[in-house]
Amino acid sequence: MSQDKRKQRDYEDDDSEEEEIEQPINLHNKGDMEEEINLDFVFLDPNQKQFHSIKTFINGYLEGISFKSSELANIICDQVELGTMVGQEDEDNVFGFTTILNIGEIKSNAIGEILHYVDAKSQQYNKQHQQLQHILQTPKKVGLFINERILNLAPQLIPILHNQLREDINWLQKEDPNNSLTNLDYLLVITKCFKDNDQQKQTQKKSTSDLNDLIFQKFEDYIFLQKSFVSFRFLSEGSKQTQQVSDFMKTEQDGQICYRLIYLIQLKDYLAQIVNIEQYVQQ
Amino acid sequence: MANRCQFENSNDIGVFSKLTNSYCLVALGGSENFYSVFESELGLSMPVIHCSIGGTRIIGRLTAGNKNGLLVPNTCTDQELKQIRNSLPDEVKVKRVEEKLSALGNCIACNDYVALIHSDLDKETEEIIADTLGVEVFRTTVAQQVLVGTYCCFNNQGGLVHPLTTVEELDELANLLQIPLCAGTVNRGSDIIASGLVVNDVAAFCGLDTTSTEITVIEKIFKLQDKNKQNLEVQIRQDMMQELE
Repeated sequence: MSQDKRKQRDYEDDDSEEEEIEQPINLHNKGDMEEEINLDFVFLDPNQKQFHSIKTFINGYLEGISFKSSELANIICDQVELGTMVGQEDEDNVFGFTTILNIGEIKSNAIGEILHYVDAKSQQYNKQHQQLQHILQTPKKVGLFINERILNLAPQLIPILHNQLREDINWLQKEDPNNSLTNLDYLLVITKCFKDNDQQKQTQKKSTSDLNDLIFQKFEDYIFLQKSFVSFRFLSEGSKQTQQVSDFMKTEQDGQICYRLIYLIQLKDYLAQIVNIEQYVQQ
Repeated sequence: MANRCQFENSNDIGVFSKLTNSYCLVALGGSENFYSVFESELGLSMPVIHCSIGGTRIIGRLTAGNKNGLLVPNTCTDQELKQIRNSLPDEVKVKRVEEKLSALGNCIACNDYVALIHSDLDKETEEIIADTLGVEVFRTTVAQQVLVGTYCCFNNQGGLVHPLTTVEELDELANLLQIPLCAGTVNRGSDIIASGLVVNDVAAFCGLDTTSTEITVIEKIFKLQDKNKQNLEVQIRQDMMQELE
């Protein structure tokens, strides 16, 4: 039923399920010639054909810990009414996507495992653990916000991904106000950030929890964190594991330290901050 | 028997492991679940060796081997090579190959008698393959893909190839390899056969997402079924044919 509703939406050009945005991207050769390659990206509704791409993105969600990622990927692909994917015409590969899942509504082991993970890490590292626990006691009001993409996706596409989520929510409020996704208060976000591994710098700085010290894999996390309700971070287990393998190859400590970042943001704050993403990209 | 398993949430078993008739290589850093599936199925008959190649865990795609030998790329460090050599049975020859196309697992598909190789592999590499692995070498493509090691997977009894392989190509390859071949998928429709599946003459391992239809195809084409089960099937088929007559 929800798929029919999707098709009734009015789009500017036609009544297809896709929006086409042409983004001319300039690529510079190291040589003398400047080559311009035009790439067409398409924004799509979730569908089952994208399962493999989504699964690849979701695999690392809990930093290498085994969980039912196939189930989660299935849920994301099936939720047509809310969620947007960036891909190319006629191809099932997805370069990035955003979606929100109602953790109270969805009966899935995967969601249970994710909540268990968040709870465990929060107990260990979160100074505001009580607040987080309190909010998670009404799971129907909390949405799991999943925002993944390939590292070098063109930044011009990001505001569109988030705007689409806002439009989806608005559409749902009009067409299906009883849908669980329209009554969310908070969004739970699990993401990654980095910090320079410079010992000298660290001893000089007084506060190590300054947002400006962190390097974000997705720049919008910085924007959302400024309005976050509860947030905490901790050293990523994954980085310790891969270090085991390649330690003998490294002669010195280099690179960056990887942190896992978990935060709660109120839905209204999230929607308000989307404007700031656009401004950030235009800078 | 075909078993499903996962390496750290990834269904790409063939990336993190290499299975032959005399040894098995697995990548470091996986959970105990992954290793226990291998060890319980392969038992004490076969050494399960933990290793890395060039500091990476994608050993299944970087190495090529069979019961006679193992080829590693030039990115493999001396320390790693030494460790592998020490852990492998003495009969297995290990050779490091100086080849521009260093992902040997993607370029070479082989069993104990025949190898299919990437069209652009060096002549010298071809000779090393023939010598170290003790196989007859053929340069060919699979479904118009040059990465033969990625898009097909075979043991001494049968093989699975890319789903878009034409019937003519299937016949041609089956002739070359002298084993029955079948086009199919693993891991719920993925066409990258060798990254989702490792197989030898007695066992196969594939990702958790592999559907039961795919498992059935795998067990049939690689002849991994129980002898009893096979006889039962033949009996059922005969009975059905008799009834139709």
